Amino acid sequence: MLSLTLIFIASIYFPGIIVKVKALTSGRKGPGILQPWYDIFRLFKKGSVYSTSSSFVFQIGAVVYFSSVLVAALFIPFEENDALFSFTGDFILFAYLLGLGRFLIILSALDVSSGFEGMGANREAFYSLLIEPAFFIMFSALAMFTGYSSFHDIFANLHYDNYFSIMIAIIAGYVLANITLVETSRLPVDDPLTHLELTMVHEVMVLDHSGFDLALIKTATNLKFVLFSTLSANCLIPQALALWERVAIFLVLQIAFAAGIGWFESFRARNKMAMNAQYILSVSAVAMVLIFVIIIIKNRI
Amino acid sequence: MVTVFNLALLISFGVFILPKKWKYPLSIILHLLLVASTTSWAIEAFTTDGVTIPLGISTWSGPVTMVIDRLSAYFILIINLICLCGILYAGGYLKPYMSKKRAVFISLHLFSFLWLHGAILLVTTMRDGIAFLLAWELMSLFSFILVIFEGQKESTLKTGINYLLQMHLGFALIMIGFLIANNQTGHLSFDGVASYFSMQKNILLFLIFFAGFGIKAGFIPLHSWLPRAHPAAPSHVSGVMSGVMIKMGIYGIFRVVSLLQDSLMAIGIIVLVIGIVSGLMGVIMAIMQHDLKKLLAYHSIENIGIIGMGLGIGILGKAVNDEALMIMGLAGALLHNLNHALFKSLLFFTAGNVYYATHTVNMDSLGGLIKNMRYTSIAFLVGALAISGIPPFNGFISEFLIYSGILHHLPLADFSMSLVGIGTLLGLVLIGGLCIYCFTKAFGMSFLGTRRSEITQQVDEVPKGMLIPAVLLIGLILSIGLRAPFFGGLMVDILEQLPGINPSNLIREEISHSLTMTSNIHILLLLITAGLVLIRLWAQARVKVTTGPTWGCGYSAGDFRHQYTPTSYADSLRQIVDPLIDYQRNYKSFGETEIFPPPKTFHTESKDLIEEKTILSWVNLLTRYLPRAGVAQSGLINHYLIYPMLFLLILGLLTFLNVI
Amino acid sequence: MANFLIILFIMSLIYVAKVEMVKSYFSLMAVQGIILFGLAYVELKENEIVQLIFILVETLIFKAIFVPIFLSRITKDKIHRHHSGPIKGYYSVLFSTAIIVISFLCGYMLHDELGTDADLQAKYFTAAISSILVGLFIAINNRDLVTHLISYLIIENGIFLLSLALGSSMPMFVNAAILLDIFTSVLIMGIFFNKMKDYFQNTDSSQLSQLKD
Repeated sequence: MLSLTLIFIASIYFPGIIVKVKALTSGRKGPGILQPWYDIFRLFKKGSVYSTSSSFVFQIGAVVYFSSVLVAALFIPFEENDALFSFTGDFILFAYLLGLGRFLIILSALDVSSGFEGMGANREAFYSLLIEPAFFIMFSALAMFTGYSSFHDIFANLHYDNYFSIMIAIIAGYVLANITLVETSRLPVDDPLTHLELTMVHEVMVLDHSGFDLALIKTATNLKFVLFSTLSANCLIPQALALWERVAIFLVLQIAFAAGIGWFESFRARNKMAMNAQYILSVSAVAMVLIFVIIIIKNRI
Repeated sequence: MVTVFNLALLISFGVFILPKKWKYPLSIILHLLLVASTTSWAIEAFTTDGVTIPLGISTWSGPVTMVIDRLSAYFILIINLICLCGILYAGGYLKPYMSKKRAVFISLHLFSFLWLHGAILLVTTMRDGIAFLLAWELMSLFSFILVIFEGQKESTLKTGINYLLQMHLGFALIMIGFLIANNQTGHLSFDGVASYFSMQKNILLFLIFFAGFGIKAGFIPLHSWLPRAHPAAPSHVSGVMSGVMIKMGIYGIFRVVSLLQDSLMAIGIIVLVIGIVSGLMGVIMAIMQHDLKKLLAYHSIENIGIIGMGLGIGILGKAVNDEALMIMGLAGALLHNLNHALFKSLLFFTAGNVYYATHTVNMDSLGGLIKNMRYTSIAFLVGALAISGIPPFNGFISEFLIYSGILHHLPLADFSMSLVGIGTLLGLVLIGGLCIYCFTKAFGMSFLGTRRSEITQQVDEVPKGMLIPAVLLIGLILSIGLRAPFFGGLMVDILEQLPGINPSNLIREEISHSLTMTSNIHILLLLITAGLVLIRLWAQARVKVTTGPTWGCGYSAGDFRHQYTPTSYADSLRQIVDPLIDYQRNYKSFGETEIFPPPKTFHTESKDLIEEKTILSWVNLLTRYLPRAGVAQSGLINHYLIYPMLFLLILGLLTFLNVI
Repeated sequence: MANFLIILFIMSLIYVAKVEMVKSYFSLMAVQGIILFGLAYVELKENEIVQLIFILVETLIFKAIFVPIFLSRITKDKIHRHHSGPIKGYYSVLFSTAIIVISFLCGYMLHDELGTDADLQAKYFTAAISSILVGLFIAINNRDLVTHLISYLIIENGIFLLSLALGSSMPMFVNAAILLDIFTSVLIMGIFFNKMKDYFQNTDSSQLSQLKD
């Protein structure tokens, strides 16, 4: 339960800090830290307009998306404190649960018979297809390194005692950061603030959702962000410290991640659409490098 | 019980003499008799150690006995279920044909369906070589008759003959395999194969059997009949063929694999590589299809590839003595048999519903069917989610078992096995992602959105009788997803009886634990989703919920042409896989001075490059050079008589010269 | 006696190659039937009288009487031409003589191999082989359907002789097979002839080359 609480707390300020940092770097004062959540609460209370060409798939799409992310959150541990569910191979179920949400949201995009949503759905399916191998390879590499295959066991056994494991941490961190950016559709794959529908990926998929559904989707996206950053934080926090120290470091790390993402988004332009596939595939390639590094470390070669 | 079985098959001849109204009820009764007799044997085989039943007839190599161990019993249960669903579905599907086709064709079709069911049951239970081969041949012949149900179309007839030829090629290979074993050991049966394996190098005989059974299963590069035969056959036949008959190839491979003694490493790698290639190429080619049934046929190839992957890593597990890898790999492959049978037949039946209602399965002109065909769409959605391996359905369970096997092995693996493990993992992940891509396309283009054609005919939901099999299959899919540990334990029980495999309690515990957690999470997922739906209902009860047209960025004349088409949806992937499928686009672009352009057409096509390179190139070579031998065919009988006379004279001459 | 009959048979073969009119084929068939009757009478020493009588009757009645009359009845009012092969009269006799010489050579080789075994008589082999080859040659040489049937009957006669050569008894099986062949050929001939006549207005078998694939 500790991990859930921490995720909950982190998610409160995570999106706000990204927005604030982006505003500050462009010379504005920016909205308050809690402003994104105020917007979401307002959406929860609003009514909805459904398209005449949509069906029950559209009605349940956002709901399933949110519930899949929520159930996936139950897998994330915090150091050696157990997650709610933990068993060998649970990161596979984690990934496929996120796949369930993605499947339904793509279907609800195709449901409204509009070219915009179809375009977003198509691209979303394609990019997630390319980024999944990176996730799996990275965690299999860590499984090979630590000897265990569940989130909890991996993080419990990830010791940074020598030079090699720090190198692993760096590569894994890079891969995980890229996975986060692709999964939550941020720069450089997709610009969440663009108004040009023809260049959107995720935003255009949810163009026709409104009210309660849109609020669910935004919450789920924020939650996904925090999930992945928790995974990254788990990699970085040393185990030798006491519990309250680790909690404090965790919260600070989340602020640092959010600020880092804001900073990165302010100064990086988005990829050319045709180059996106190549960029994502290169992340998977880096993950393959990780595997080979671990094989060398383990003296298998 | 044997008499019931035999009687059911004999009474089936009566289908020909009954009037049209009674043909179908008689078929159902006979199918139920077959199901009842064989299911009782199967359950008995599960509870005891195995069942042996003499069939009462004998071939020239001895009396025919059915030997049912747990593996056969498992397959018997799958066969019975899917064939029963098939015949239930056929009742509604064949109704429009009852008045159009002649009575003898209908009765031939129903007769062949029953005998196909019986022949497939016999294949799983025969151990003697001659009996097995006879049952295999019966299966091929009767499925051929079923495939050419719409034989008045020339393309269907050609496809059927192509299918028959390839099946006989497989039959010849299997027969050669048995004969080689017989030559060495004197027994023309699976026991003979077993003793051959203990005496000689295994790999050559295994490859012969693998090729023969692989043609039936549909591994690449022996798959070329699958994407032609499944769309050509009527939907209930496609469902049964794809769900059950392909699995007979897998059954044969399983039997031969269970008898292997040496060179396991090489065999495992071969099977694994073929599995990965089948899986990836199958799903890539599926994405490019416009025809819904052809798409499903290519997905069968992909799922057979996944089964091959599980089998491959199971064999490798045995080779490196890693129990987790072996048991989980084989259990995953076995369970995927059941899963694939369930969701693929469900998908084919719903595709049949689409054809029944709209008379087309071309996705370029479908869309918006969900408004009128609600139950069919729900069934297809469940099938699509299941085949992509998405929780909470059954596809995830079998893929999870294969993943678990690899993950258990990775910490202990040496270099080559690490590569193998990572490669398999990569393959499975890519297949999963591609499958999601493909089935969002299939479901979205066929059912969601608006109808993509000018035709606005009324589309009705199919009669309720055709939905009963779908309900049954959905129930089973969900139950496997929600009660996974039972099925996992069942698979381990089946594997226990095979020679050389002794699962320890540790591995049973491990499988049971992981699957229990998975099932619990599935149940939790369903509960949370249901809860959220209720919360939303409550929240939206207090605010205004309206409907309106789709947001069109201010454009007010939108119609169905603005939607994404199947081709455009698959376009992103096409940019990467173009070299593999030789994609062609045929259109005339606009000229520079064309101000008021006339209507133009756009045609895209993807080719099956593997079939082209392995089969069609040889066929084209022969077709180009063989006609030159046509000079010998003059049409005059006088010339034809010269040939034997010359032959006789030459024979005489050679005898005279003491050459022969 | 047997030698004399064999020589008569071979001479009839040379005559067959020579004839111009199709009508004379039928009388040749009758002559060959009678010769075969004589040979059967002389050679066969059966244990069962019934079989012996059956064979004798069969050769006489069927081959000598029934088939020629049937065929001439069918082709009675049809136009008959001279046989229409590429090898005319003189050369066809030369060819058939060559064939008979070859068959004598084969018979000679066999005689060496077999010695003077009482049961296997090499002289029948010559007649049989020559009969088969001459029959084939006639078929090659002609286009007319009736001529083809005649050639078929000559081949059957050759097979009959072969079975005589192999011993002093003729198994029922062989005899039944030969009878079946003759029956089928005549039957099909009858049907086919009429149909082809109606359709093509003549009975030239080169019309059938239109059926080629």
